[in-house]
Amino acid sequence: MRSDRRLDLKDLAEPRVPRVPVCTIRKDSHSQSIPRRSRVRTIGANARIIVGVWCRCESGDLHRTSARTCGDEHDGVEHVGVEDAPSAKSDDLAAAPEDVTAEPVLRVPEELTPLPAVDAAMPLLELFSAVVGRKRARYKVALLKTLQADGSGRWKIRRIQEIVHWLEPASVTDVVAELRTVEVLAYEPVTGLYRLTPGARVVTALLDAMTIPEVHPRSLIKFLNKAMALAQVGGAGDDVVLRQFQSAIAVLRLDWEDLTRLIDDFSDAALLEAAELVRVHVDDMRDLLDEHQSFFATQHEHALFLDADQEALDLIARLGKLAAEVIEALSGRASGRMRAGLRVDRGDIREFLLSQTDEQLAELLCDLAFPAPSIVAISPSAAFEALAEASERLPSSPPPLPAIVTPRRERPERLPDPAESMRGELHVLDAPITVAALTVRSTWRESIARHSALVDAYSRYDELPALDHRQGVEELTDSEVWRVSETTVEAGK
Amino acid sequence: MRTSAQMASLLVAGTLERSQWPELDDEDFAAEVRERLAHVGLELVGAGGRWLARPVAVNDDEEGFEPTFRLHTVELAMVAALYLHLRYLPRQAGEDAAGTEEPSVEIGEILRAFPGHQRHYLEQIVIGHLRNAGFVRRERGRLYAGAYLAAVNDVQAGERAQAALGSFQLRRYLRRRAEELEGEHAPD
Repeated sequence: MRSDRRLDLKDLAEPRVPRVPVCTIRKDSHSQSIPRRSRVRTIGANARIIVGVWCRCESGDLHRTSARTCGDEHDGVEHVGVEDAPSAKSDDLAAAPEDVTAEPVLRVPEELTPLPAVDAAMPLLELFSAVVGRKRARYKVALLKTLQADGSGRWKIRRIQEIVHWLEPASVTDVVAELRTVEVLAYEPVTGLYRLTPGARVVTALLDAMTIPEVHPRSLIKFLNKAMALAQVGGAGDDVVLRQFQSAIAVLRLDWEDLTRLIDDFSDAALLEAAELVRVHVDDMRDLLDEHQSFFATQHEHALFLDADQEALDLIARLGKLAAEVIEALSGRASGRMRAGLRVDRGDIREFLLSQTDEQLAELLCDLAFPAPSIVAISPSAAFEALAEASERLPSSPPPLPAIVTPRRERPERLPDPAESMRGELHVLDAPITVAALTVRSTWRESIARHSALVDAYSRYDELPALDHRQGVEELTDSEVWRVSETTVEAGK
Repeated sequence: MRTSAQMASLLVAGTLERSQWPELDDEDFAAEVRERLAHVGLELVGAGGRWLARPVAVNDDEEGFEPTFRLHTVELAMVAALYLHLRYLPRQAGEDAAGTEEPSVEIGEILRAFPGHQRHYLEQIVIGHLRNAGFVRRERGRLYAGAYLAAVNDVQAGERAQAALGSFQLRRYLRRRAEELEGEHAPD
């Protein structure tokens, strides 16, 4: 039975600190009730802490110390609080957990996990363990493969013994009996015939297909493609197909990481091999998308499918291009564009040298660079003469510093303010005067200084006589100034 | 009259300017000098306008043997960098335009190629040693190929340099292409 509630990936994406209850249990009342699979930590002589495990109360009820129930009162258990579970110190899962038999602790309600779907499928999945997870697995698998190849579909025990001719008849009977016990083979008492149950036929077919030494990386996406088809045929649900599709995308994503990492390494063989593998994966992913085109078409409103589809197309495009260019480059067909026209400039050499280690550079000419074969013997007399000469040399000393002089402080010269002077001139005017008459003198320099002072004065002081501006200009003849706008200072009014 | 013995004894102690020792351009005379040098494991090489003698091969594994000069890793790496700047690159440029000036490189350019070492160590110790060993000349802040760098087998060294630089250029191109492709397909 599958849960109707779709698993929201955002629920799982949020990193949550796992919180598990801590209960103190009196040793005398519960020490015999703790199941074998519980995780138990001893903290003292008379008490134990049980973290997120099953325990049985005096009433006989099996009680799980989950976050929802640890606050419940029950005999012998005293709730003392909730503590954070210890976080993993490393991503390296090779480190064995303290107790491999401990019941895993969920971080979300069970209905939000794939567990209900797995529970529903357990009868079928257990057929696998019934065949390969017990004694004589190799004989059972081989017998089922042989039976599958026989066309009849129902067999008397004698017929099975004939078909499985490579095994002693008594051993055939034993293996068949064992397969019947685990319901891989069904027995019809009336006819005395054995047959493969529908589930067993699927399991046998899958085991037959999986009877290979290993899954080669080249076949990975093909396998996932077929798994998607199988999931659709079996009605496993869209989520299952999506997960398998995402798994295939993850393969391409890893391919991209591997390829870009190997570009930085200097192993051409490894890079070429990776590029060839990528090309196979890309082709297989194209086939996958083609084969499931009609299924994807039904999922056009499913955002996760659309995202995955987009990412797959994106990865196909860039991986395909990069793999093709890597293969072209490393198989000796590199274009001039790739090799930058085989020309090398100083910038290339600069970058190249920085990209190399001392050892790599030293390797380049190590057997081609030979230094001079010897050094010339030094004459002792020449050496001592040189020493004597060196000893007589006087060390150079810097010239003396000049005498100390204390700088004298002087006030800066106070210059008249031209704007203030112009203000004084304006105040003593008793009749109107044009700006030209007021400011223009014979030289340009003097005229422009006075004009600037007039503008400055009017910008600084408010009480000055009004100005009367007109449209025209005055042309002057006896000055370096040619024209001045017709403006009159209305003084004396 | 200069003899082959005199010339061989000079060559084990230094180098000879080619223009001032025309005797060595005479094949018979040069063969005599070569023979004398070969007796002590040296070969006669003309390079960079000079004649010089260098070891054919040194067996460092001989018990009790300690070579007078041995280039360590950093020195060999520096020789490679100098070769690329002073011989490989000018030869490439020479295909387009005949170079008139002697190839040289700024000392800072060479030092920047070894960011993991202190400047003083590289400039004074490593380049100093290479200068004494005849690989490089230093004039007015620039480095020039010494006679022993000029004597490096250009065919073999050139092929290796071309292979290494070609591989580097290809990797650089592929790395940039990967970045471009990643950028083109990055989600908005």
